[in-house]
Amino acid sequence: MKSFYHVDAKTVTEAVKLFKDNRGTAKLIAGGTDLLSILKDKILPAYPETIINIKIIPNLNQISEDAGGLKIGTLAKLEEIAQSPVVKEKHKLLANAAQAALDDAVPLGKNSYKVTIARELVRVPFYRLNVLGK
Amino acid sequence: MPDKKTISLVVNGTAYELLIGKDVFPSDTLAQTLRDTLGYLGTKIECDHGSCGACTVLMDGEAVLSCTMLTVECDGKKITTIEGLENRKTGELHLLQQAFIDHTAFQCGFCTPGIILSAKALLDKNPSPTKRR
Repeated sequence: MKSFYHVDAKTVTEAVKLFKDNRGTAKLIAGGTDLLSILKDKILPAYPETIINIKIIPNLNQISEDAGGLKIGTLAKLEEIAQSPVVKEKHKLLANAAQAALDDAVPLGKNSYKVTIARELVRVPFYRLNVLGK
Repeated sequence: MPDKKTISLVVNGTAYELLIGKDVFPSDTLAQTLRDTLGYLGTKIECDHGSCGACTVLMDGEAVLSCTMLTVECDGKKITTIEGLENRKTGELHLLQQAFIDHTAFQCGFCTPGIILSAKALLDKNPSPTKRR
C-alpha cells in the first residue's frame, strides 16, 4: 500500500476535528478489513493522505435507546448487537438478523468474527458509480 | 503527522521496538512487518484481503487477520505466530501441530499456519466445540 499519515483520535470530537481539518483527504479506520482492502485495490476515487484511527475511542461500542430511537455505536460488534438486551427486547428483527449473520460468519476468536459488507459493495459497479462517483 | 514514534511488539516472547518511519511505515500491515521486518516467515500472505485466513496470527490470545491490520495500531500487543507454538525448552511441537502431521492434514501446506492458529484460538476458548462453532 502507498503510505499515509496515521493519527489516533482519542475522542469523537477529536476525530471530527481531524476529519474536517483534512478537508476530504482523510478516511476513518475502525476494524480496517474493508478500508485496507479497497486501498490495496486502489478503488477509491482519491487515495487518502491521512487515516484517522477511531478504534481507541472509549465507549464508542455502546448501544442505547432514547426518544430519538436506537443508537448503535460505530464500534459495536455484530455480537454485541445480537446480544444487546435493548435490541433483543425492542428490535427483535435486528437482533435476529445480527445473529443470523454471525451464524454464517467465520469465528476468529472471542467476540471476533469476520463479517464484511462494504468490501463487497464497493465492487458493485452501480454502487461505485452512484456513491463513489467512479 | 503520526503521534507516536515507536511501536512495541512482543512476538513469540521476544520484545521489539519498531521506529515509525524507519522500521515500520503507517501503511505496513502486521503481516508485512512480521515477514519482511522481523523475519517470521511462517505467517503467510495469500489473498491479502482478509478473506482466506492464511495470515492468521494470535494477538493477545485471539485470532486476527494480520493482512488487514496496520502495525501502527498494534502497539503493546503480544503476537503469537506459528513459530511460537513449538515448546522452546523441549523442542516438542504443539499438540495441534503434531495432530496435523499425524492426520496428514495438509494439501500444499501454505495456509496451514493460519488454520492451526485459528484452531488454537477456538480451542483455547472452547475445548469441545460443536461442528457448527
